[in-house]
Amino acid sequence: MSPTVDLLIPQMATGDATSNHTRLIQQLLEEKGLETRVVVERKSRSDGSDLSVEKWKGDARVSILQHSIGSEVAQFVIRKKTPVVLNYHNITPASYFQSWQPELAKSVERGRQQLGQLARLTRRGIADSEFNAQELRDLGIDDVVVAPVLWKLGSGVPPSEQGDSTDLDGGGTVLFVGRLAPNKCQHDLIAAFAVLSRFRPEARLVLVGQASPPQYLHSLKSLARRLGVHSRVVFAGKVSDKNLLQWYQLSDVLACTSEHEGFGVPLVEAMANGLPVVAYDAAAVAETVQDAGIVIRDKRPVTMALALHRVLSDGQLRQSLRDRGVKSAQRFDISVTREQMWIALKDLVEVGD
Amino acid sequence: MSELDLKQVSAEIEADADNRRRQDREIAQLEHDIEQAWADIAESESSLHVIDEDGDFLNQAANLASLDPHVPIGSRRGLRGVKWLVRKLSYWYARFLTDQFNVFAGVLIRHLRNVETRLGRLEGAAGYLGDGTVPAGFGVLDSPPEPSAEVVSHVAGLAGSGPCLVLSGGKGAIVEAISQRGISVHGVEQDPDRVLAGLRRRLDIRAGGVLPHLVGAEDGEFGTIVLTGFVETLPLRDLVGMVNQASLKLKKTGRIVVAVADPAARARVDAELGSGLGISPVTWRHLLEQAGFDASLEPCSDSRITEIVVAQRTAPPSRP
Repeated sequence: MSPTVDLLIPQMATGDATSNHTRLIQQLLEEKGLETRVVVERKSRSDGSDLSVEKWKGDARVSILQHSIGSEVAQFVIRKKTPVVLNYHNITPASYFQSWQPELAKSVERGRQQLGQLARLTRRGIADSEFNAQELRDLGIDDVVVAPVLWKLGSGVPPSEQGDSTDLDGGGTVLFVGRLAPNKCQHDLIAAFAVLSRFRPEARLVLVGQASPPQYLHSLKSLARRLGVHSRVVFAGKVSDKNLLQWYQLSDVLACTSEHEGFGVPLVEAMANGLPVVAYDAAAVAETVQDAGIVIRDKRPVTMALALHRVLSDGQLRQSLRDRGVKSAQRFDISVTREQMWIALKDLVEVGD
Repeated sequence: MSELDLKQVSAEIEADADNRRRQDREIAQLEHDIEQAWADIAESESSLHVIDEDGDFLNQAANLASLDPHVPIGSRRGLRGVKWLVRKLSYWYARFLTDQFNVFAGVLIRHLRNVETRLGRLEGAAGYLGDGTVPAGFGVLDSPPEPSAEVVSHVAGLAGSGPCLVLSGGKGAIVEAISQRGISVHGVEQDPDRVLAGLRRRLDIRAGGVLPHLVGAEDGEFGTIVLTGFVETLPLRDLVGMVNQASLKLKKTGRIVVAVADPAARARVDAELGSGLGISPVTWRHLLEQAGFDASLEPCSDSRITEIVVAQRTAPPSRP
């Protein structure tokens, strides 16, 4: 017998936000007494119970497709003309990868093409942000609901209990969390850091996240070396959840120079951990940060550096950002977002009971 | 402070930046130079082929294995009909070949994925997490404390030629002491707190995993490799792997220095939790001798680390 809800995703991977999101939706639906099944394009090592899309018949009452890149799973949906709930996380424009990773550029291009085809099959769109929702509406999908990504925030530290490590050595630690990728523009952050170093010679920049593509990381290291800041730029790579939480708690400001964010999980994680945020106003960033961070419209090195310098040198501002951040992040607490997701799905999955 | 207008703050920052650009030619020039530096690097390096150590090889293979039969193949002068026929036949033949190739590549990759899945399950059963790099025992034992002054000075004195690598680097005491001897040195540390502590002291402590860093280093890159700290909490299989890797990454006359506490001296709780994690200096000596080193134990006056292993290469390294 087919389950009530099929959750379609290209691949389930450890530490991947969309995979965690899918598992949490599955958990939510099962708690509501619904039968679910995860359908994947490619089985990973730990998901023996999931169904390969090649064996998928598309006969569940509701099929929820996670879409953020071109995939075989989406292609099966299109080929079978199966109506789906489209959970859209946005697709990075191919232009960012064209020269760095042409295969990935093709993949995201394919994702965009599939998005157009999926629009006709979409019963309801669920978008992480209003920014993503607008894209779906522009494609002609009328029924679009905003429900943020589900994830469990790392245990936040109340601002009053946070030690203020800044200015202990006239430096400060600037943190970035996320994939090291051309659309995230860490090169702009290193550029800004080089200027910041003129004001704060002891400052440090920590980049946490895996590189994709690898030659972008190579170029970031070259840039740091060329600008003479390589000894104070830490490429921490992919880290465990425990270490990630430590980085949030040990840093003094989170900086984001990304040009394409459909939501921005690290922004919320930083806010939840009482870390002030300085971000470039692009895509869904301002919507996610709202009035809890410094959002600037110009990310040229001097502007970004001055924004970071201001936060690192103004204790009152930092405290205000911390307080606002912790409060603002509560919007994305799992108890709240689960409820939003349930409201988005309830009438579809419960019909016919 | 609650009425602080952050939009106003942002506007002030942007205005300040514009003013500085106008008034300070040096700043404006710096910004220009930085942007130019990135433009040069991006242009020259974006198409470089860099091996992704963490990448999914099969995914890359799957991407590369797809031939596109629609790629234009050009034409020659000649009769219109013949040209059309030749082009059509060439196209269908090329398409036939590419289809065959794509099917073959697809089947091959599917089989490799099955093998990968099975290996993953075996690794899982053997105690490795999904990424295969972090042993399941990690986190059971607390990280060892920072080395004492005795250990630091003793290890620094034993460091032979450079460059020197310290695994794990901790807060950088050993790195600092070796550096003060004029030897080029860096440490690797996973714990963010310790990485930052080292950086605050302007030491070369790099963030990352000890084993991946060692694997990623060039063969014959180091004159001395110091193993200490975090290595006390690794299981035997990782330590054997570490010895093999360290052996490859050492110069012909390189040296390995191991400063660890004896697991037998652990308190009862730690002994039970850390069962199978870490080995004694005597076993280290044995391992290193088996790997072709001339190893010896040196007494140390520290209360935790009572003996330090010094291993000098005597046999050329061989890839395991």
